[in-house]
Amino acid sequence: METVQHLRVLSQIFSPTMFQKIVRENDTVLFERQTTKYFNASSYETNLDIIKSLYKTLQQQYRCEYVYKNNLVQNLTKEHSLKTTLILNELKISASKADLVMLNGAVRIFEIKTELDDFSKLSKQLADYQKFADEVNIVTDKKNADKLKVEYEDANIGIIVLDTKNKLQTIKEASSNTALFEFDTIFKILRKQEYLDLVADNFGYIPDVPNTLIFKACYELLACIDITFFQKQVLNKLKKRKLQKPDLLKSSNTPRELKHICNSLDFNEQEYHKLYNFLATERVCTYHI
Amino acid sequence: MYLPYIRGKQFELIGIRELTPDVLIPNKAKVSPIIEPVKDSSTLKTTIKTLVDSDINFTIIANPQVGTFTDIDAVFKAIKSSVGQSKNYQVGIIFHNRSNHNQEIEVLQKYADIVPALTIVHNATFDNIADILALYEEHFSIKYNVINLSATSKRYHRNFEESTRVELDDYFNAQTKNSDYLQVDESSFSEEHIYYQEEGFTGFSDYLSIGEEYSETGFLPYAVAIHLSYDEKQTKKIKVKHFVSDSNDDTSDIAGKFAEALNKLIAWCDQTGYNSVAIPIFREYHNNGHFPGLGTLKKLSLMNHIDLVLKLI
Repeated sequence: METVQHLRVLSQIFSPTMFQKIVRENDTVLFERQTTKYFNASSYETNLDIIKSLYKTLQQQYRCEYVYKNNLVQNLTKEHSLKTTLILNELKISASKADLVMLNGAVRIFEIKTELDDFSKLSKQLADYQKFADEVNIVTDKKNADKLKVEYEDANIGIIVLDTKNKLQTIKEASSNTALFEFDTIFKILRKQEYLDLVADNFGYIPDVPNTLIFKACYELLACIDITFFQKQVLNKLKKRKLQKPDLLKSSNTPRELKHICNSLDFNEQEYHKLYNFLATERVCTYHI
Repeated sequence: MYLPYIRGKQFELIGIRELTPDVLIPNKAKVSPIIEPVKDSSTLKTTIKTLVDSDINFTIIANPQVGTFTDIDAVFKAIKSSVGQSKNYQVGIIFHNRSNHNQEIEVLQKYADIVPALTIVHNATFDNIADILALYEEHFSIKYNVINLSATSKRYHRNFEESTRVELDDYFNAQTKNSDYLQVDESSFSEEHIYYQEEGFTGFSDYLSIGEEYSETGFLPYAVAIHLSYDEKQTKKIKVKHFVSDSNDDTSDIAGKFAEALNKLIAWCDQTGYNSVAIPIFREYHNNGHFPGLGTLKKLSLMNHIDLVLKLI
């Protein structure tokens, strides 16, 4: 049994920052140090073995946000074709940041609240997401889900449980938020090139104004479009932020334990191969001084 | 003598370069910038070359305490590749709590041919400072002792020859968030340019209208603030006016927020008649509605500040 402090440190291994270091900066020092110090890494053969075992430990003893997110990403990528579906990580929507946003024919947002989380921001977050998403879901553990099910009984919020076997179950279906869409929030999700494209698509021209005025000019033009139609256009625009290598994300060479990291870092082919090499690397017993 | 203390980030360096022909060259006798390099960049080298070619005295710090340029050999390599045959500059050494003087002297000796003189920046105090300086002076001459007033005691400057004393402090009233400057409106900066000689210093230094606090990367701000130093007519003191955008609810439309802040700056200049090397550039952005980027704002703020101080001394 690992102590909670050790588990907290170990859970940080499953983070985009850690794999950014390993894959993009060739820096494995922190990974090696943490796993040696807190996880008896020398009893495993390869880095993949360490990661698999570590992930299993977290699933059983410390269900941090990564465990939730990764289970969800695994499910969503299994159920949906990555040709038509894109999953965005940590998308800023109004004053909140949505954990996972799934884009295909509709916008579905998943807000994760683990048993270790604080729920104080939840209602504000849900309200922000409803200004843009067709459906908003909370993903949480059984105990909190039962409470939230009562609290949100009459709301169109969906509730999904990560059960004790780490399976996801929908206990309340989300329903449509179309009536709550808000132009300002949706417009501000877009990057500059994206709103310029939408103005060109809808009006056939881009306003000829200096850059201090372009945001306002585009904002005012797009505000005239029917909001549900505009939301759909934004959804399709965001989907163009697509993955470089969806096939490699789905591939069995990419371990299921790391699907969320690979999705959010959007590795290219070379980076996937660097990751595979790292995973296949045998762990030699080294002592860092 | 005014020794503006500059962190060698991209836009600060470009500011120095752009000030060279019209502001630094005519004021050669009373200005000597101190550059603390924070990154090994081509801008750093071209800036040093510009100063060298214009025969403007400056200090380049060899042991920067902020940023990523921490390999002293690499810093000397950058110096060597840009100073040519010039001897009109100082190599700067920052004294701090962990200073290892023997080691510093050893490195300096290794590069003695490109160390015409030293500037010491005193960011910490040492009881035996006279003995320490004597060690350096066995091999090098010290042109400036830059005394960081906030890091040293009241009479620490007495340890140094008057002709080498420079006082340094951070006079910028930094706020955590740009939108906080809305309430502040204007801040006192300093009056050192009036009193430094009277108080036994040969020069004075400041961290400009930017402040000592160093951050590696910017982030998308909620508000845009332009900090403009100016002289208060009756007292001759330097103050800083803060022009801040009004729609500060989120990080969208930085360019539009810049326009809001700039409108205020232009209105204030029209009303007060304030002018400096940076104002015509601000007016041009105002006329054509162009947002040049946040880095350029910092550059213009720096250019305005140095131009102002040099006009006052």
